[in-house]
Amino acid sequence: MKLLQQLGKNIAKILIFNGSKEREHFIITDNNNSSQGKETNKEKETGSSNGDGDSKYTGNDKNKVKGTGGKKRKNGRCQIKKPVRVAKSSLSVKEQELKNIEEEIKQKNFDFEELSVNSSLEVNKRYLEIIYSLPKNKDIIIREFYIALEKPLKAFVLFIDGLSNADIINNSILKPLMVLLDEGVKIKHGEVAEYIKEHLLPGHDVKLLNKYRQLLDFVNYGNTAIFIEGSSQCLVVETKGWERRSVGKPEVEQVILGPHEAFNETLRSNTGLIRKALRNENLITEMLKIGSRNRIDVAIMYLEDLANPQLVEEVKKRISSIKTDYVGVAGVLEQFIEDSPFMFSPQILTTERPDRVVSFLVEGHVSIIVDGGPRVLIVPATLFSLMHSAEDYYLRLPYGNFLRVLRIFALFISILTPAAYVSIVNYHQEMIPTELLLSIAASRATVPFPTIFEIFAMEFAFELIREAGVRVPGVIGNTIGIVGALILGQAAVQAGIVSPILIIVIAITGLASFAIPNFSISFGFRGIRFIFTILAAFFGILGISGGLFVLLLSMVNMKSFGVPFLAPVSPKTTTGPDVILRGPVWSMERRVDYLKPLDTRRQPKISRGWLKNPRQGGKK
Amino acid sequence: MVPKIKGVLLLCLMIPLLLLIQGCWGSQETDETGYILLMGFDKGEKDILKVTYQMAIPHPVEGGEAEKATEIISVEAASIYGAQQLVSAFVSKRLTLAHNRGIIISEELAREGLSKYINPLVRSRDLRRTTFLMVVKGKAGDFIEKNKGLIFEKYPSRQIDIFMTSSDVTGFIYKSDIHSFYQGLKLPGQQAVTALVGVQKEKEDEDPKLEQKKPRSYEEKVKEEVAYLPGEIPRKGGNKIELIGLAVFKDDKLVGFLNGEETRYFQMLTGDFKKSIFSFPDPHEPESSLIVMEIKKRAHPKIKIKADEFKTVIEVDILLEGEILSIQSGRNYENGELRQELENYISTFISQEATHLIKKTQEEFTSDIFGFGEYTRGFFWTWYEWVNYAWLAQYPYCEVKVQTLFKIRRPGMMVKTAPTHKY
Repeated sequence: MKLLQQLGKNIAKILIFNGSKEREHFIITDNNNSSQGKETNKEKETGSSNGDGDSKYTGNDKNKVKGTGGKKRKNGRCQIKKPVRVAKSSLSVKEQELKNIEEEIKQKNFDFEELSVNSSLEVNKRYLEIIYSLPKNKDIIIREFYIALEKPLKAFVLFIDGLSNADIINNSILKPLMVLLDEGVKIKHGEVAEYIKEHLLPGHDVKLLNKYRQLLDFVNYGNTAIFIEGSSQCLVVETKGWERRSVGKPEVEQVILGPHEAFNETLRSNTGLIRKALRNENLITEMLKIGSRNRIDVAIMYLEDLANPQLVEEVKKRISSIKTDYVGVAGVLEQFIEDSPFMFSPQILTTERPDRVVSFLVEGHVSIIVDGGPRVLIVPATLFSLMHSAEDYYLRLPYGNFLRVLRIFALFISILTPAAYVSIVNYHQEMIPTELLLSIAASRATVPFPTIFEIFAMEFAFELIREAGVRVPGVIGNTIGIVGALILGQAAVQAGIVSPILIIVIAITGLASFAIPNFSISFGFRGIRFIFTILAAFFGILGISGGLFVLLLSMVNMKSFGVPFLAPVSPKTTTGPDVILRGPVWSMERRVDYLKPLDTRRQPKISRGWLKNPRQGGKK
Repeated sequence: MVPKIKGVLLLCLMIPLLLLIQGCWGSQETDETGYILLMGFDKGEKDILKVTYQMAIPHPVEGGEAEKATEIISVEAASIYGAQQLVSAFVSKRLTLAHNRGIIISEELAREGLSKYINPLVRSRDLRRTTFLMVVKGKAGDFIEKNKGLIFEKYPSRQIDIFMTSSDVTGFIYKSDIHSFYQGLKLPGQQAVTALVGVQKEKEDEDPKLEQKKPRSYEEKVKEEVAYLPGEIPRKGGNKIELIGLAVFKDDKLVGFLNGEETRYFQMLTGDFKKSIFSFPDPHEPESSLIVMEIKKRAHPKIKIKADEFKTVIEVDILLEGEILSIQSGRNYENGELRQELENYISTFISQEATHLIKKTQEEFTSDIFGFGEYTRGFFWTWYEWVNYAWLAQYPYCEVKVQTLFKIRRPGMMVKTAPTHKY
């Protein structure tokens, strides 16, 4: 009570119906608007009628509403007072019953998960008013109408403005029920919701639900709920239709050849993109919900006849065990379910390309799609899969392999170039050709700082350009490139702060790190580059080799959903010709061994039926 | 969780300690270092040894060509390293030999014996054993000084490098480094050689002996096309220095020189020969026309040592092949019998010259610079038996049989010479 008064915010009302003809109403009052509340209560009361069967719900309903109140208090949004009896009860039995319920409320922490739809329209409306804090909450629309049956039946639809498509609601719900019905449709009282679902409502996806928890999940996601007088079930019609980004081009993982579709922020459109590319009835989409606040949908997609059930189980276990209030995008979920959060490298592959997801699904991987973000997670991931790009497969064999080799070099360049420069210039000057050394010496002749300072200053500047380039408002975005490249590079050299050769070193390192296809692992390498530079400054090549050794150890130690990070190289397992370089597509006969897929063979030994010569791989 | 934090703390403590303890403080910035590119040893005037250094002055690329790229310093001291230290008194750099590309030793020092200079060089941490070693006719200081105005390169290290690699196409420069010289000093089966270099003679101080030489015949001119010692090449322009020929050592002392011609046959016998252009007098008209042939190594020479109680015979098969570059007489040596005849003629010619060279080393130098002794290793079970065999003492008395197998592979872009019109 005290708490309520202190906060002194909201009004919430509740009516509890009794099965008997006597009615008692309980009202949850607040210091401010209690009178108003009472009025409304009475108003509703008169309008409402209840069936005989309602008496059973009484206790429950009260509980549930209380539960709602409890929940809300927990959330600190609004406060609902204990039910206070307003009207005098004639029966002490009733009082006793209510007391019992109150006791129950006190003891149990009620959750709103169990609250059921009442057969009284008024009650349901009250519930919703409490749940959605109506009429304060302006997004939530309750539209009352009569279903044009022989004996018009009162009903209302509940939807959220902005999330639902008004056209669908008008044309597929209100119009058929209000206008288009033949006069004199007669239905038996008890099955009204079901009858409407089966005969009258043209919506393509209609569900009958009686739990508030479930139906609210749907309504919060843009569906429309139809409450009908006298029915303890609620019709939920698919009416999602919010403003959303259409399927656009990939922005991180661009390819030259190959599809230019990328995921967007809508879960269903993302699953649709995957399904469109993988037309298979064994493709399973399982839905989980995480986040106590936003209750976001997480879809797990896999091929049932392929993915290792243990892997699927593990993914579901990890995701469903997460208890947190808000998960917005895949990146957050990734941090919740990855094996080694402190390691430099990601252990989950993130992609925005449906084709990439599909290529992993048909290998037996599992993909996790979080609603609200354009990235899809794929587990498990290995170092080699993180280094691959979709482009490798779309190009012909030699070109694809050329890219692969190029990227391997890029990997080492991005980790080691500054370190190698520091160590050679400071310790191993005999390693490079005389002319190169002399030109380094010449370029460093006017620089007053030690090499390590110089390199860190320039690296810092480069990272600044990079970060600023991402954060800068689009309007002045172009300036960053010019400022970064021209002013910083050229001016720093002219001012004698850094040497020109160093600019080349930093630039090539930066370029190489952009050539790594996975943004996340590229970030990782970007970080450890600094460690290697420090090691090189202190220990020279010895330090670099030590660092590489430790790096290798850490990678060998990592696992991604039970799969060693360096599989199939360490531990060595049988694999198709697609680890560092890739073989011709027709030679990729088996799926990767470390996943233990249910079906290991991708294609028969002879996959090109047109070949005549058995020696070339044709039929005998 | 607690042990994990402890572990992390421990690591945080250990890493700085490691950095402090391990003592890898050899870091040296490029601007503190002076890079020696060439080093020359002469006999000192005021002290035992005079060392001449050619050091690089690093200049930015856009600095222009007029700027001096190198500085030549000479200092006299008792030892090589003493001299290097003494330089620090007047050069504000720490000298390093890490980028030294060549060591030039004066004829005078070489005749006294080189062990005392080569051993400390081999012991050096800085210096590479792949550094080229050259003996100069005259003074090393002069050589470096005269080479100052480089024409084609910026730094002499590169210049020497290119000179030495051009040995592969000329054959008359010998690619000799400290390591191979060191092997020549220490192995019981061979003697040491180095490349021979020199400075172009000024007109004034032209050798009076050369003037007195009797005029050579056409045939001799053809045969001795590259038979020069450094400083003797009749020429104008180019660098002031010349690299041609060989310095022959017996033990660690210089005993003589081989000219460019002989150097080619020397390399054929050791197998270092790659290819070279040879001129021969036309067998049919030796007084008026010549044949030019590019000769390549076909395979490594086959060397057999046959030894019994009375005599030791060295048998060498030189395997060569050639491409015709010029036939002045217009005779069709490209095909048929004439070709056979030419092949035989060249084979005999080369065999004779090679035999002559071996004889020269046996008689004049008494030094097995070819390393024939290495082929006698197989006769013995143990190293000491072989050492006791004392090959080098026996070498001058060995019988020599050289056979050349020469084939003409290509006639160039002309299948045969068509006669020139004569009206």
